[in-house]
Amino acid sequence: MSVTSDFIDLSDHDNFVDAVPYVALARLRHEDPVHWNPERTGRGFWAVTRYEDIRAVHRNPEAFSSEIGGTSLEDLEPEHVEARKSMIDMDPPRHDELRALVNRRFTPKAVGVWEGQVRKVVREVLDRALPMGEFDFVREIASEIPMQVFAEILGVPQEERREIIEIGDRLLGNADPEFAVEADDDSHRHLPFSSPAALDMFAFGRRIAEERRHSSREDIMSDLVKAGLTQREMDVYFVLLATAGNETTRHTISHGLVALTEHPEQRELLRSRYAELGRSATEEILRWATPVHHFRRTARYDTELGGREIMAGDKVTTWLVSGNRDEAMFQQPDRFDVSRQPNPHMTFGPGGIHHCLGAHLAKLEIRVTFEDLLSRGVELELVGPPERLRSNFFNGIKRLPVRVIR
Amino acid sequence: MKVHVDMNLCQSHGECVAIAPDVFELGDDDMLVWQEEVPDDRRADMEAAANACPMMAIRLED
Repeated sequence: MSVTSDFIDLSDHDNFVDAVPYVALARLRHEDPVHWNPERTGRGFWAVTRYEDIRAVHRNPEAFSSEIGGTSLEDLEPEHVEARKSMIDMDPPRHDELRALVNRRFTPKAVGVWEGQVRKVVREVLDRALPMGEFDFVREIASEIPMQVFAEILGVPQEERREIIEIGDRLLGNADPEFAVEADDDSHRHLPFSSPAALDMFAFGRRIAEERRHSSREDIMSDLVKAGLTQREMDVYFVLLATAGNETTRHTISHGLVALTEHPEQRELLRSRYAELGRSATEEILRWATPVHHFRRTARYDTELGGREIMAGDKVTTWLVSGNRDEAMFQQPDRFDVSRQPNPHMTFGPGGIHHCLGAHLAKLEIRVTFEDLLSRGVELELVGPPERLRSNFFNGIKRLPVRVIR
Repeated sequence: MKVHVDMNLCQSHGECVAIAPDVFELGDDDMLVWQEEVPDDRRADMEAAANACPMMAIRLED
């Protein structure tokens, strides 16, 4: 099918390589906020780019299903959707049952208990990285912190932590040629992210689950083992926890460093008043980074959105990365402002039953990371442009070469 | 009116507590506790709380 539209093709990963296409997204918000985007290899989809419309979709899981067709843009056969779906790709009631298994471990108070461990992880990661003088910030710091925290929480032994990071890279970078393994091979469509690396992640999760089966702990994996999930449910649950909690926080920390480097006056303001501004700066870094560009829903029945008629079965994509820059919601949305308040960003979702489970944990990690980094009397300088992931889904940074200045 | 909260979904974000601290409260272990019967003149607040809940866990019934 030929694509004839003078709007950006949001299905084309190449349109996200140089930068997030903010100008093209703003044009969609202004000229065609519920836009039909034809696809070269698919049946096309609605692209929803205004804050209020995105919120309406996410808060109406009756009309906009996560389960029919899943939450990624790619069209899959129903049996593939079924085989690889975690709770993120489910509707009530099963979604709610699965989420309830771990929900109480991610409340503000439950997460607050981990603050000491998060501070320790951050301190150790920075102590090890900064003396290198010149290094890749993604590899040494941004990927290391969330993975170490995740490993701490799941009880993954220290010597196995690098392995899980590498599996995660292969799993999630599947649209990027650097990480893709047999990317055009159809035989992996039943796996999360259509990636064979999912099998390695399953195996990793099974090892931990097996240990908890023999000796239960007061932790998430023990909760899941006790819940009597099927093997497949267990596998995809682990992949969800490992990916949703890791890659997103990693990219947010990387984008946070870039933003603070490019806005030195904001960095100095934050450094001088961290106790007061640490929380608002964290929210602004989250808004600025938006590590997940979009999510997909599928219309369960004929409905209406922003004046457009949506037909049952239509794919509806909600561009959080656009909602976070919507001038109707944010004053001067293209300004990075560490004291911005209020800041109702939709980086964790705009509210709804799929609102990010790990939101409080992510905020804690980001706040502590920059607090520590800005209090060490050194500066990190970018020595090359950030290398971006080729993906219309993740706003990812693969490499970020930095140098320490004293 | 009656206020229902689905505790499978509630994650103690506390948005409802900020809007109506006399109806919603975070108790021990951050568990939400709330009044199930609320006078009708509080409808606006209850609707605001339901709308603010990130988890859409609050449901109102007449």
